[in-house]
Amino acid sequence: MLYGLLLVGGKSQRMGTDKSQLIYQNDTPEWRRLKALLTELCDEVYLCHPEGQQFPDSKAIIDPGDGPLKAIHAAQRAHPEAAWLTLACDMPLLDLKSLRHLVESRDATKPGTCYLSPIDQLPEPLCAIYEPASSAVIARGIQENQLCPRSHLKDAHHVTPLSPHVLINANSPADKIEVQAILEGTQTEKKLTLQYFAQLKELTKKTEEDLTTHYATASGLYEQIKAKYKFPYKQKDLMLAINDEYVPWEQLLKEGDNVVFIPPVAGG
Amino acid sequence: MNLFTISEDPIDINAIREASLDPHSGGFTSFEGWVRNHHNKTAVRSLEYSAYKILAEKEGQKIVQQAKDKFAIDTAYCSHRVGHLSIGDIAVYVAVGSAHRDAAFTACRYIIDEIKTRVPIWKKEHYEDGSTDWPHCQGCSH
Repeated sequence: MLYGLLLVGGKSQRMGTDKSQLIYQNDTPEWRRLKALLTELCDEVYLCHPEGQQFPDSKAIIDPGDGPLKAIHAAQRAHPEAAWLTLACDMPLLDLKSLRHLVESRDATKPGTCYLSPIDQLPEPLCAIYEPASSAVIARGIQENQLCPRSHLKDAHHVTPLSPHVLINANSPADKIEVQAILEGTQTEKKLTLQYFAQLKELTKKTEEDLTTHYATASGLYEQIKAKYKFPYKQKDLMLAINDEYVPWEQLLKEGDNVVFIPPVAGG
Repeated sequence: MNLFTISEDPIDINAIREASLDPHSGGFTSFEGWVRNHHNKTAVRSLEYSAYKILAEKEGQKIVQQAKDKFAIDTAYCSHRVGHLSIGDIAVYVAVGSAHRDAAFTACRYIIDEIKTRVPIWKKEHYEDGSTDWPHCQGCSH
């Protein structure tokens, strides 16, 4: 028995709007599009959200708050017999073909089945199947305040996505531009120069490098570079400069740009 | 004289003070940032400053110009040192001259606070025990 769980209750500070309501394709908000994918593949589908929110024509699991692991466990407690195909609502490039690939790759003898991120090779906890057997371990994790769902997928069956973009998260307006460029096929190859300063110079052991990228914005590019060199900074900790000017992350990259990720500054 | 400079050599504070002299001014305030021998409770041996020079000078000049637009001051300059500095060295110097003292104090404070949060300058701390770290401004908006 496979049930679907769509997590729609998350706050989105960086996007500045509710990610489940964003529209990328066919005038359909993401929660409806992803719910439809789950409905194709699952026996039953639930939306997991905080008490008081309303999603039309949907069955709800109330999200106790405090992160996705507790949400997943709330679903497991409500229907202990089911395996839960769990999705976050910020994966605008996830399509039926990819989700079906995950379901068809399922190994029910393992605690779960999940994709490995093509960027950092880590398990993706919010596009994953949690088997009933994982419930006890997750309960213990919650008791011990180990709330990172990824840590519960180390022994899961790991699947490689069919396309490198499937799992892209859209967390900011710049990410949204990136996703739209992929959906509309407007990504182009550009030659850029990256310059590195301070810790980033130490980690890369370079002051600059030339590279070719298909990313539309420096936001997409940063995630790739961050994984490659193991930068300790999240995008929101950094400022961005292009051609020796501070610019917003939404700025489109163009041929020949000089891009600098600015780690937290420390003058004075 | 440029409103803001990144300097690889020791900052010439006398030259900046000279440039600030103005018959309209009745007061002058300056701020010197010094390399101190501790960070929180760790003993510091030296500080290594680096900058993204082109952008730092652009952004620094913007800040000093903003101070001149915002406050009733006559002159304002700032210089920030880069390189490997020892305890007691001057890392940053801010100088403001104005007709009346209030504006000079306020503008001086404004400039150093903005420099700390917006200008792409970094420091690597070298500790007495041989370790290093990259501390950064805790009050930054980003």
